[in-house]
Amino acid sequence: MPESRTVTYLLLAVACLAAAAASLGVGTCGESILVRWGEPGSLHTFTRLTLPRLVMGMVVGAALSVAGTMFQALFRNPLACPYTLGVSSGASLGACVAILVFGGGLWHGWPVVGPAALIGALVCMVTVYAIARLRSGCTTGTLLLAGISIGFVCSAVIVLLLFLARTHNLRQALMWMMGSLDDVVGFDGVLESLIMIVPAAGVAAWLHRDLDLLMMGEAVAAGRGVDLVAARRLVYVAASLMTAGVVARCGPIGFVGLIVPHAMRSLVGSSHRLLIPACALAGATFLPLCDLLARNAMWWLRQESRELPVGVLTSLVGGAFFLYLLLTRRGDRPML
Amino acid sequence: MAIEARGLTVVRIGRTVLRDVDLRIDDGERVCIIGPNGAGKSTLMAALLGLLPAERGEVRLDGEPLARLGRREIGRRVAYMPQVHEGHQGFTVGEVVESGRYAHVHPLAGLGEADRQAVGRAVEACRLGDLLDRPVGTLSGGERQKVWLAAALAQDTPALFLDEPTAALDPRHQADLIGIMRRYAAAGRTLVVVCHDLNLPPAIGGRVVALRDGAIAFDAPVERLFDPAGLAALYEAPFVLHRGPDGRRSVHLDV
Repeated sequence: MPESRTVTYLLLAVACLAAAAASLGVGTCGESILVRWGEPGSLHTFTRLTLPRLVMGMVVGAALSVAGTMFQALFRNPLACPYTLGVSSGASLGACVAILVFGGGLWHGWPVVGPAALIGALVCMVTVYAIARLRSGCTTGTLLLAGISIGFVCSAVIVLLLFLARTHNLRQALMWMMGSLDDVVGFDGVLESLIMIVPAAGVAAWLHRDLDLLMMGEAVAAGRGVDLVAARRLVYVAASLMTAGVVARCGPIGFVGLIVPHAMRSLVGSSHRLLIPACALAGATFLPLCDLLARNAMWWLRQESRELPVGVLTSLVGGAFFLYLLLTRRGDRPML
Repeated sequence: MAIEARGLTVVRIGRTVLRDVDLRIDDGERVCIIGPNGAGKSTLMAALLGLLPAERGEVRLDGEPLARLGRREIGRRVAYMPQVHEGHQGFTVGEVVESGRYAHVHPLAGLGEADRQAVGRAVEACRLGDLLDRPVGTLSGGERQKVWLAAALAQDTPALFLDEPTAALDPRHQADLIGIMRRYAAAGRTLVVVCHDLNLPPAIGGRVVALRDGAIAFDAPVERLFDPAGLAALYEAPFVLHRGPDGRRSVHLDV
């Protein structure tokens, strides 16, 4: 690896650690757990709330960024993101059904929203794949159209459910769909997400050359020896599982999977061997930073002890950053 | 590497594009596939590589049915440069050329010594040494075409299939590409080229397979091209034969 690239990765790793340190140092609503260290319950708060939330933020940021990279290669489109194929709509529908129909909360002592969102995401993923396969042996075009269609259907059903909902459930459903990390308690959720994310990340590493070639064009890829049907299927399933594992836990946190791969592509280039680790590091930096701002924004602005859902902030920050890149980037690395 | 198609029929979007094509290309042969637009040239090339499913018939590589070979194995035997490169142009020249080693490298391993040598030879053959770190999107059309050709050469296969490699290139880049193709074939490897430019088959030599309406109109040595009447029947356009002062023949559209 050339020296400049090693420096780039070192800087990304340092940025990631710095973001984690800042997240712990600044705390929530203007108060850091580190300031109250030693007080009764502070250790419990740190290990049950503060640290799991930080780790979850890093995992979610990394997973969404890598999934976004995979979808962008699959569709050869830098505007594809983890939510393009409706996985998040499926998860949102599952969560809305759990909240609006079953009242959210617990069912026989078990939480219903997370599992329902996961089921929604997986059902959506399987349905999209089945439709695309039925239609034409699963080409990229039919996958995209099937995904977008199913996404719209799910969104329409969500709107219908919201229309029929009672007021207090409505707020819970809307908050869930904004995407947030404030429900993370303990490391169980992190581990459950990792069960889906780690194998999917392994697939991404295994397929890094396939992703490069898919991006160069399907005819080129097939000529080099890529089994297009198998590669598409694996990329789709792995990236969808990665997204589902995240969305089911934290709701659809937007823009991370779009903006991070885009920024990293201009930093380390298009080769997925370099891009995937860079995206994982940058995603694990970006989301905890956004979460830090989201936790404190209302306190800093209005001295209110309530948290902004991080999904609102990622979309705001991501959108502004995207515009900045668009207006300032020179044409030395054209995307398409 | 020998390629053989028997009774090859390909249907695309309800239309029969190739009809009962029998074709044998022997090891080390040079073959140009010509014919009017829509005759099925690119389809034949793609079907010979198993990139398009055959409705009927079969293709064999060195006697083995294509259907029994995995894509990676096919990629180790035949390199293919498609006509259109619509892909992402943010990759550097070096990354694109290295992608030619896909079929030879374990998914989680880096390039080995043999891979680096193959990439080095391809870079040298296409004279891309100074451009390795440049994003492909910043190159001219002619340079880009050389990059894609270098990637196919880096596959280091006994056969190379090129779909209209010189289309839309200026004369200098056409000459460069013809030189590269000749050197590849001179090493005794199989070269199959789809082309519209009738100057290309005489420059490459070997055989010409002419397609019309999805069937083979003629399959003959390249000298057959110097028959204006035959070309006029193939393309439904008038041709004229020229003979240069050195006796070299060429055919041109007579307009």
